[in-house]
Amino acid sequence: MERRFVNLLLYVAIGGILFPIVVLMLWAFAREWPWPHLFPTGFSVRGWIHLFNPTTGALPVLLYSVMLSSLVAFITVTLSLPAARALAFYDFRGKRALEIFILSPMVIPTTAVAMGIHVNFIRIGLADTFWGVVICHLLPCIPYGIKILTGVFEALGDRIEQQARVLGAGRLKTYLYVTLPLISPGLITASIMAFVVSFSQYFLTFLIGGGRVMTFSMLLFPFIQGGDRHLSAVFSLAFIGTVLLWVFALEVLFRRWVKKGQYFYM
Amino acid sequence: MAEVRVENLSKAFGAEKIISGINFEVASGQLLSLLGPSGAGKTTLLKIIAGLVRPDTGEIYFDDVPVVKVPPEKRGAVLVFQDYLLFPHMTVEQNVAFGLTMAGVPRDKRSKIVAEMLDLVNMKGYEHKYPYELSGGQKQRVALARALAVKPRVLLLDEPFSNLDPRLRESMREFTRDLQRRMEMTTILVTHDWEEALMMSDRIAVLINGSIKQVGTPEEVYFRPASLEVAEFLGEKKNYVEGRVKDGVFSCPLGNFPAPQTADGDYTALIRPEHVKISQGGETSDWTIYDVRFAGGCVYYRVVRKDLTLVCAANNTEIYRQGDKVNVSVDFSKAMLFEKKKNFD
Repeated sequence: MERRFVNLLLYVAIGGILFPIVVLMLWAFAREWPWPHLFPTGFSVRGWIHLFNPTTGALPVLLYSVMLSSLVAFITVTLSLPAARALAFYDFRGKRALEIFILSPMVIPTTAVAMGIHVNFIRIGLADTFWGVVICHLLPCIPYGIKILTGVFEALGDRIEQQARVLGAGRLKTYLYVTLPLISPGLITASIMAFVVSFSQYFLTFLIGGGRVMTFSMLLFPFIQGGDRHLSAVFSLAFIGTVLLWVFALEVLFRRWVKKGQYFYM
Repeated sequence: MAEVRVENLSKAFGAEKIISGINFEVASGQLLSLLGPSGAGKTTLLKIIAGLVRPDTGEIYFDDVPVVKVPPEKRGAVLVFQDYLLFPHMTVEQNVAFGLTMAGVPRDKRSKIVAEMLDLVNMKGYEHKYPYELSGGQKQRVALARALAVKPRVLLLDEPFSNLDPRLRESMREFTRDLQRRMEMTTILVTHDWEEALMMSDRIAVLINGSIKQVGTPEEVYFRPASLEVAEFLGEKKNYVEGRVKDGVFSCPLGNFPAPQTADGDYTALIRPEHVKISQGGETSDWTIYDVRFAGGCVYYRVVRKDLTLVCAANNTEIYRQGDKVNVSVDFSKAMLFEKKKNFD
């Protein structure tokens, strides 16, 4: 009985993920799909041509976007590392308050603060620039980075670093040879999270980038808004595919580092 | 191999005092056990000596050189943790070589030392295994090899045998003690197991409630504990007999015994089970065997008289049964008298 219920839930979950993707796939090759037909009534690759056409410029935007989000992911992880380590290992006055402050972007919508950021970015000349967009993307990414890495550091514990220290490794060497390799699974997870959050940003990019910094989600948005289902589907698939490819590339890149048997427990 | 001297060491975390006023010395090449119940501050003390925790007051000397301000990586005191903490992403070989790599020892010399160390701990052939492929005892030996590879001035062992099963524990104790003697490695061993401390140490420091109650050889600590607290902690079963000293004679329900150089007053006598002898009695004997616990090498009895119960450890040549009438004699020359009164439960 219970087993069956679990299976049912599983099917629902898989269906819930697969079904929309199947619909997307169909739309991506459909010329038109009028009601009440179960399947599209015409075949088209208009959207794909648009995506890969060198003159319409969808692919360069995609690459630019990937680069921007990769940079955001890298900076997020770099900034989150020391903060997460401190939160996991040290006890200090106001730790709880700091934790809430750091995680606040998760609950306060960025829209609410974007206005103020925009005004200030205009003042210091960061508005409408690549770096302006990168910096404001960090805002929703860093809470995830810190939260994930804090958990990883807590699981690791500080004793393995102490072990390295007494064996003659200084702080930096301990960090490079022991800490970083051991938390690398967490680094990958945090990078993926930050990448996805940054890659999906529309509003912040639109406001701070002022339309000059063109990311892929900004390209996708008008199609969805305009009701062109075919183009939306093609670009959505490209969106999903890019994220998957990026995650895969990251895993391959670090596979050498994240070896089998590398666990926090022994 | 350094001589270690600890002077007036104290540490508090917030308002909670962990250790205070710790003094002891370890002669070069000797093994000192820090023995105490859990929560006595043993591990904190060890971490302070390793340099991982800064003491509030006090100084530590390695060969008369103060080291409190020296960071752990330069101090040369290698701590082996209770759960070994091998680096899970490195092979056995890389683990043992870690300290040498950090010190910048060239590759060929490094691999020579690693081979030597693995040979020393009987772990040859495991060079390319990862920690998760090893058993508890093997991990421990690798951890030991890793610590010894850097030729530490002081080796610090934090409850090193508590995660092993009893049989392996015994052989690892022997192995470690043997290795320590052979290398003449100054060692501080933290343990809560009094038998382990007695069997392994040159000297024992008894740490209770954050301060050292007694330092001495195993025999001294066992036979001449400085206080009832210390006596309580060493040995599992004990007999307490209350009595009074008057004019150099201790009178108690077991009889009158000479107690020279003891001031008059109320005392508690602590008698170890092995100093209570029983022999075959007759119908007129006062004592009856209340229960028998056969432990192989020796037999534990509880013997009762109308007003007294005594625990006795006897050899296994003759085994008495429950209800047997026996004669009891107490070797009072080995008894310890403590003035402090205590409530027993």
